[in-house]
Amino acid sequence: MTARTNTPPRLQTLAATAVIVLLGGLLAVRLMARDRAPEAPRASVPAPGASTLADLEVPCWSCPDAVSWRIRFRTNLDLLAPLGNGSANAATFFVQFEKTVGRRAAEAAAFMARRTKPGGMGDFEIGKVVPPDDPLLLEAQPWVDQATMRFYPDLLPINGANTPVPNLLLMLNMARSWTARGVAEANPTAGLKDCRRAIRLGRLLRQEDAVLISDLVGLACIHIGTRGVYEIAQRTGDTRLALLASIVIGEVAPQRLYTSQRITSVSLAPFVAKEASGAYTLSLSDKRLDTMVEMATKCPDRRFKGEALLDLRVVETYGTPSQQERARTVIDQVIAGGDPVMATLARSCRATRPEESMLEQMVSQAR
Amino acid sequence: MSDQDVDRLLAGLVPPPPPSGTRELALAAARAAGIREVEAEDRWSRLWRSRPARLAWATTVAALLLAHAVLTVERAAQGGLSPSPAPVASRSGNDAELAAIAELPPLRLGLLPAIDPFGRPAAASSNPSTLSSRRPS
Repeated sequence: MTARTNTPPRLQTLAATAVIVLLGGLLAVRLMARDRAPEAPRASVPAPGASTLADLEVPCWSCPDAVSWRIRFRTNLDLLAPLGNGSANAATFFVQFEKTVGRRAAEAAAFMARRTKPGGMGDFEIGKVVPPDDPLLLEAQPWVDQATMRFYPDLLPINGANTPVPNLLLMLNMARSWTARGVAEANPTAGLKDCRRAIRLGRLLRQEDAVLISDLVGLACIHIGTRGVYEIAQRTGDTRLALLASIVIGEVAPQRLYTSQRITSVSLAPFVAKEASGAYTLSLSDKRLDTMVEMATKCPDRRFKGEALLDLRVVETYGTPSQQERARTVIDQVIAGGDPVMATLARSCRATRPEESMLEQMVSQAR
Repeated sequence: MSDQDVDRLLAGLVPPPPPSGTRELALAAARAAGIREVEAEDRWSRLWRSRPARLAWATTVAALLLAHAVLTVERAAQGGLSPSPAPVASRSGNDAELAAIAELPPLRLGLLPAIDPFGRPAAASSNPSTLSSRRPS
């Protein structure tokens, strides 16, 4: 009698069982991974670039040339706070704290509740901050050593005027807390490290250039961190560093003002009215429409293209027939363009009507 | 040594015969082993061909695939939609801290040197704001 092995029915049954074991095992792994917070890969931050006093120039934001500049720091921020070299997307950490649907939104709220008011830095009020050893503050630190931060479209969807933004208030308060900790630190090297951390967070926030408010908060983070660097540089007598910090601080206000000027130049508020019947009307000049079209198609800063597209959506609905046609053409042009983020935004503009709340806000701004 | 002596010596080397009944025992054991193997094969075949077992397997696989699909969709929809409706100002919502950063004062172009946002500065205009006639100058 010979032994018989691997009979067909046995093999098939075992194979079918293996399919279930494989699917079940994979499901268990995915469930465990879902509940586990992402971990930042190890990263390092290079030392700030060397520069001499002779290298430092003060950008002329009030000069006529400035109107064509991108609204970005002209000073090389790598001289002050270079970005880290981490390979992860820093947004995977911060997206967890998004206010409405973030998995850790409650922890963000608890972080905000732990803030207390510290002393200021000279004339600069830093506002409320968390204690230096706050666990969420410490957890966030390796994430600002990463090289990139991208929220759209993989982590947060692009949905026209309803595009969600990350928890910017949390990030702003982290920048404040790092800066306050840095300025209070007796060791200036450790203190500068913390202030540079705040600057790096601001640089990461501005990197994507997709949403205006994120860019403004990023600018604020850079401002706060640089103020801290300036305080420490004054204390230690580091003239070069103090000069560099003061030049960077001097570039903050012009960027905010130019942002305001660009938004005002395409604002529909002066042209929107609400009739007694409750209907909204738009009396838009062609000159204003020209400005909007140019901003939507040619502006070097992507976030302003998005703002112009949102306004063109209003023109497409409420403008004169020729204005509607022109707005439609521009939106279609952006859809067909090479920028996937702008194309997605333009598609959502085509697919939805302007919200009444948006029009109401324009009317109230005009009053 | 003679042939008879060789035969007598070799006769002592003949192995002893097996105990009686060994052949019958061996055949019976072989028969029993063969039956067990056939029975085992039948169990696998029965399992493979069992309709309830196949239904349970298909249901389990479908449930696991559905769970994987749900996890995939959940991950894709992780960001969700925020109710915030409009750019800049209303994105700051009711939060005064964020509003202080996000809300920008409008810059009335007519009160500044006329600046084309895309690089063609002109002389300062002495005219008041040239925005909508609805807006008071």
